Amino acid sequence: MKPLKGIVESLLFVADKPLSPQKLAEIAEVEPREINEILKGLLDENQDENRGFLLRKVSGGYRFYAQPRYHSFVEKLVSATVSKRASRAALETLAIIAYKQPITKGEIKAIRGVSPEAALNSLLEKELIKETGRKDAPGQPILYGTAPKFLGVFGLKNIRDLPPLEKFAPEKETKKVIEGKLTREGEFQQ
Amino acid sequence: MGQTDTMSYKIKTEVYEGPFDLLLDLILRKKLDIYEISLAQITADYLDYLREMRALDLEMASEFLLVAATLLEIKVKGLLSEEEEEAEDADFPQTREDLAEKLLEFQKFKNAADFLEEKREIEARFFARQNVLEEKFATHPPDLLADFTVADLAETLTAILAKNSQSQPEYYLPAPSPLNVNKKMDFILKNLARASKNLSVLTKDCQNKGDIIATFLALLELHKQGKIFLKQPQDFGDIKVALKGKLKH
Repeated sequence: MKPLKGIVESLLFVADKPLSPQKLAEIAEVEPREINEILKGLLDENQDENRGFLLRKVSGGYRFYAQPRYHSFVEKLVSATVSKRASRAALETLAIIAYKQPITKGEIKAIRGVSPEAALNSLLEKELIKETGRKDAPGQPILYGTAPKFLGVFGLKNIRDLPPLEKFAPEKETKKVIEGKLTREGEFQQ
Repeated sequence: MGQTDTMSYKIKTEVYEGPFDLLLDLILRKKLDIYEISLAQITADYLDYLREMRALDLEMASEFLLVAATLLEIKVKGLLSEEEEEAEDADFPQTREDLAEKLLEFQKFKNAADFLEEKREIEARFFARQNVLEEKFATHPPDLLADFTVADLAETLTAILAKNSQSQPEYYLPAPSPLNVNKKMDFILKNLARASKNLSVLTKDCQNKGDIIATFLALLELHKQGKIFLKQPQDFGDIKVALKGKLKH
């Protein structure tokens, strides 16, 4: 019998991107089912917090990560790679794109009430979003969608990993305040 | 109005991401009613602000103008009776109900943005194993002499010597002879009609450099016209030329 655990570990150790179970099975020349068993075992070993690394299922497959509880030390080593925080405007724009993609600049503006030009540029530059085509509408506006990097930065396995937008609906209280302030009839001052 | 003072102070000190952002803040945090805000006060605030900012930040000033103008627009719309309102600016909500709906929708995405921020903070603690090639190695060309033996070296040298001994001494015409690319194209197409040829074969009978150049230009033109395939199976190896649809490995 093959030392399958060792084979899988060494492949994951050397790879510089997530490896899918299919790929691992192909290289190890075994059935994907056997690989999945090994991966499950490795994921169980993640419970041991004294270990310096752990296996994670991320977009595209499995990959080794440094144990997050030691992140403050790891940061000292790889500080140059820590990405700059995106601005609040960029984050809101990104949330809109993530849920409404593909979406045009004008449609984003209609939601935020302000032109998303600057936010779009910074998101494009960070490769979190990409142009996905043009809308079949007057002026053929550019359509935007999330780029592959988006999933990785936010630790999502795939786009369906996003909670449904309805989960973010304002609480009843908030809703009441907004509607109360804005839909009450009559009585203005000045 | 005491409340208005607080509000105008806020506008001056905080950067809002557009009118919806400001409105939400006013309504939710300040518990202000947008329809209680004084038009005159907003205008006065804006003028004051401009006076202060003249030498400072034009972008901030124009952002404030956008926010202030939007507040005015909403207020004015509120003052007009609803029947008079006709949708002119499709971008902007026309009624209070409309506006409330927009703000609720916007709040949804603000919450979603909070969620993303949290996710990212968690994710930032995970460092993936990274062993990508250092840049200087990643751009390094592959080792072309790998698997190259002394015997190969000898063979190559023999080929060069043989080629040189065949070639006629070079001579130069006083004026360069015109390159006839069209004739070369015909020549190449005729040669390829039966089977694909290597570039070395096509140039075998070339008399001088001009001839080789003409062959080269003819190949480029034929390739551009989509009549031939060019393929180089090995680095620095011979180039295979074939009519489209006739390339065989």
